[in-house]
Amino acid sequence: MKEYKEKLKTTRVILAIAVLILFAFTVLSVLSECGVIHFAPVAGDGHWQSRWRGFICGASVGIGAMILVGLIRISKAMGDEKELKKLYVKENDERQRQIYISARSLAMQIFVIFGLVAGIVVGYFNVTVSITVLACVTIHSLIGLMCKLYYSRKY
Amino acid sequence: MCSMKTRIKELRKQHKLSQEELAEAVGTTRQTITSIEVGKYIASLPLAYKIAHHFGLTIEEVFDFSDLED
Repeated sequence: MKEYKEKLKTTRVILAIAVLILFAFTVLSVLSECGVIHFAPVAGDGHWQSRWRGFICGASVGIGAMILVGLIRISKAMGDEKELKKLYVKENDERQRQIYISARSLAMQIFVIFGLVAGIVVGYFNVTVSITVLACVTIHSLIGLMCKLYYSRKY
Repeated sequence: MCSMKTRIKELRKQHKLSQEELAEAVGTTRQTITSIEVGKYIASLPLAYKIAHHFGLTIEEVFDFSDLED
């Protein structure tokens, strides 16, 4: 449990930094929308740029709020031994891990199959999109293969 | 994945334990105990040991391995 507590302390610091960075992005987006600073994507007209800034701002707030909830949950658990044990059990439950591994594995297979099909079909209409999709699938598969090799050696 | 019969429910009743209490005692969640009891999930060796040890029995006395003997 002591090791887990140390791990949570590190996680808390990383999450706090992430929240600060996202908060900075949110502030930049708002300032940019107000015209105080120039912070906009190079492509597209003013309307498109405004929409994109809005998306960045919304995404920053959404992800920041999610991380903040996690941060509060960790901080709360660290001050209460019972809550800490509950969190530890929840995070290390073998069935949950099995579900996660199975879900990720299936999702990866589905992504690769659909990606390949989409890449081929889209190729008849738009070469750029097709190459982008196929590149994503290739990189995803290569990362998967590297992870498989790593774990084959580990176990 | 094949399922496995266990005596966990019966032993819990004998010891007047709830799923939540057993889960807490062996360091897992109530949902995992439920899944093991109904045979939807096969416990790992360490968890099987913890459960059996909690009831003062061996793994073979709690988990039914007869299907594996075929």
